[in-house]
Amino acid sequence: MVDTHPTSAFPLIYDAARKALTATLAKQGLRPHARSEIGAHKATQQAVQARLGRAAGVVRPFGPMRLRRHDTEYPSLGDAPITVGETHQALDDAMGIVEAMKKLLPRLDFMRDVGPGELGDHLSIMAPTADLEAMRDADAETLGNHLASAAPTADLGDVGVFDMAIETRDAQHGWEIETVPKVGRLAEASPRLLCWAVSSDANQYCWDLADDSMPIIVFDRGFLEWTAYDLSFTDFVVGMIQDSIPDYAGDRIASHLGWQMPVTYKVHKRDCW
Amino acid sequence: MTDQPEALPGHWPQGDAELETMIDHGDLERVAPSTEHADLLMSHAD
Repeated sequence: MVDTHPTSAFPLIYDAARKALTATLAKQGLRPHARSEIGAHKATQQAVQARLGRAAGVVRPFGPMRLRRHDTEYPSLGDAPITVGETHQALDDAMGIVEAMKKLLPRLDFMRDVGPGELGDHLSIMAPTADLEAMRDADAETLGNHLASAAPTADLGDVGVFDMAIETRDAQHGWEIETVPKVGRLAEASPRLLCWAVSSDANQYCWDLADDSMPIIVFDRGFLEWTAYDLSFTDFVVGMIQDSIPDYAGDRIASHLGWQMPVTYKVHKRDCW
Repeated sequence: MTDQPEALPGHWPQGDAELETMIDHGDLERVAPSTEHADLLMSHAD
């Protein structure tokens, strides 16, 4: 259909991306207003982008898609027809959006229902922070102020002071150390890292935002290497607990937990974050 | 999973200010969070 009827295929592709974005809003108790002045579809995109912050790159192709979809649905005599090439590009973009939203949904569930905390006193899963971009190139004083404002009432000895912005910055700097090996496909990769957890061994668990499928990339400080895993957040965490991730090179959470069930998850104080 | 009405997820602060502004401007509205609706939409997308 993409090759034979691009004008018909384009709206279907667009709708798949739009519904994936709308799904993440439904999960959060939000929906675009039917009488939005900017339009419900544009509102959907803006809302998801706001929530994703630094991870919003995967959603950006939705904007041009929305405009071209409008041309196909409400064509004018002067409009250029949708081409096969455009439609193939839209298909790639839409598949990237759908895959990213599918990986985001479990994370939204987890943060809504459980929240940031400590898995077996060994893995600190961090809450998203609002100012990742500002922290990326911040100086030491700014970082200190950010940390103080992020956890103003934290019992530091209890919950630890892990912060997504600071850990992400640290992971990005760590990646640039050329002597640390990158395993497998990471040897040629240029990831945009977003750190979502840190272990008691200071290993870092990140997403690669440069890849639309958002693979998980782990930095192991003990072995001094980076490794990628094509798993969702939930599958990865469950795999760590069950020690069931194939070719896993990160923290052996299962052995730290001592095979005790149920696994404890100590939720960070909500007002600390 | 419970679908309790909640304005915004308490553990996902990123973007809260922008979303509140969109709600104030009438571009976005609050509804009861629904995993079932999200799954339905995602099944159509997928």
